[in-house]
Amino acid sequence: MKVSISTYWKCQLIGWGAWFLFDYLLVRLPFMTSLIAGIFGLACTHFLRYLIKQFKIFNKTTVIQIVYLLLLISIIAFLGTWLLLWVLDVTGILYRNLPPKSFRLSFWWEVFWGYQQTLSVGTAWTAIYFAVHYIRDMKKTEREKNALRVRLAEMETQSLRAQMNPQFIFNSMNSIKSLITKNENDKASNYLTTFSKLIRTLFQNSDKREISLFEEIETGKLYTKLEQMRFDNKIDFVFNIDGTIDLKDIKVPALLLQTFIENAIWHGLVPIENGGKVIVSINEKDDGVECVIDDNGIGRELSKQHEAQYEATHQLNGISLTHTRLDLDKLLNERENSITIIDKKNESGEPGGTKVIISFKENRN
Amino acid sequence: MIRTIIIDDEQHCIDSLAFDLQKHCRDVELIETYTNPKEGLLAIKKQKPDLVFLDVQMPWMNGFEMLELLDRINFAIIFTTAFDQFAAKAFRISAIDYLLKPIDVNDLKEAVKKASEKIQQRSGVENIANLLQNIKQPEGNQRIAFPGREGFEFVEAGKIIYAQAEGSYTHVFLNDKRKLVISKTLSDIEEMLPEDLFHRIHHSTLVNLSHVTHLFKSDGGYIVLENGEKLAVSKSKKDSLMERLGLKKD
Repeated sequence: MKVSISTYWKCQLIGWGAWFLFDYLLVRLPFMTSLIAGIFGLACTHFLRYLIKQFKIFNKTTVIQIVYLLLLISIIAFLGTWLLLWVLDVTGILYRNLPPKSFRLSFWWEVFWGYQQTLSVGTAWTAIYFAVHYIRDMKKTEREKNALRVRLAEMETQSLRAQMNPQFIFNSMNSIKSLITKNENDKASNYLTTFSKLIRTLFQNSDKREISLFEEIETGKLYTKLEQMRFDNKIDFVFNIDGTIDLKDIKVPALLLQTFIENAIWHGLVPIENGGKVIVSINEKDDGVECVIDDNGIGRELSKQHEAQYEATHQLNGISLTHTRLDLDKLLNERENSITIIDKKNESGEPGGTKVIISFKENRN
Repeated sequence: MIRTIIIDDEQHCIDSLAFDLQKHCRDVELIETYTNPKEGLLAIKKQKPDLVFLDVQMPWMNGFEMLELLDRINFAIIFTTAFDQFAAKAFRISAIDYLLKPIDVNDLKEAVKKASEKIQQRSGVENIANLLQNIKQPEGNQRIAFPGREGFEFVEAGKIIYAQAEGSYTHVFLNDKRKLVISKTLSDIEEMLPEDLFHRIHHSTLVNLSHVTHLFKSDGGYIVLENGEKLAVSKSKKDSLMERLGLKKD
């Protein structure tokens, strides 16, 4: 059986072993004195580590950490020195090699001189211990951050697929085909051009994690224009954008607004015979920007009831994907993003559409 | 003449399909088209068409749910869908015709030809019933429609132990000790079976992992099935098999 030794114990044994050899071979202290000093050092520092863990010093603020550590080091160093010298004194090891009647310090003077030495050793040990701990911690955080990045990248490809919704692409193609067969050339050509513009924007943005809010809105507008044509103007769109905001200066996770616009259309408005309206507004709020996608469709509850069960389980859920993406983005960039979804009610208390509020609290440099 | 109804929630889909039918399928007589599945349902009951083109995704009620509301399906159906991989697989394993939008004219002609044969022979009803069952089941319980000499044999995927290629035929071994000989390639069969249940252990063997009891690495590697039969594992498939069985390579 292989016994694995933790890094901590390896360092402790090597360090105090070296200390013992140094005392014995170079300082030429007696063998027993060096050995006992080494073992004492090991024991005291281990006790110190135990206390550090016990008091959970790593989780405290820097000032409290320093105060705690100074206290602990001075107490342990004192007790350690005193105990060590007492043991050496009682066993007679301390003065064994000195010629009799030579000059002797009183016991407490010995403790005082020793204390200075142990104090500096203790401090050095603690410094090394903390340094190692923090370096390991940093590496771990870095690893975790990398893992998060990989996950974000995966989510992005998924989200891209969700956005370049194949259903949407093929339905658009079919719309064009039907316009051609009906000889409505102007409409067909108009549709085709808008469709190409949208696909081009999607391709251009596909490798970017963030795009400007301006681009995102432009994509959203193209998308809504296509859907409007397809549903013969059954769906109405309004974009209310605060003109004082510099949209190009605000970065948002790519492909964000459209997921919600698409949901508003497909799950909110399409099921209604006479169609409905989607209002997209962008406003300044507090120290960030707020995007609101507001529809007067059937609402989430009703929409869920009316969607076939297999569709719910077998199709990619754009919203939950966006949620996760925003959460990851928040962790990585330490930003304050949030999505709030409000189920609206009309005067008689029945569900009357859905309102999605996305807010970005961003420090614009 | 084949009396036909089209049901699709998007008018432009109806328009282009109607256009193609008129131009390329002269034996089809289009009686009516509907964008609302409820109206379509009533029309089917009243008009008794021979053939219905049915869109899968529609708001309020999809194509499958609409069919469930009928007591009897005594007409041929051709499903249409823009992109729905789940539905497409369900169609394939139930041996049901479907068309992808925008619809290719040759596919359309082929599907209409098959439909008219079904109408004459009054067949295909079991396949639809099977499909409606399948879409509600997890993949392991779905029943696969294997073509035989007289019609189809419907077999639950979980009851298949393994399948072996035999030239352009495939032998499918069932847990009731029967063997089906099917005139499809092993790859065709593999596409119909649930991926998370079956694994290719050899270029000519596809096995249901839930029926595997032992894995031996000796003699070039082989597995043992519940019924005691041994099947060879090819070298190139060994690693992926171990991974599937949750055994890590060491």
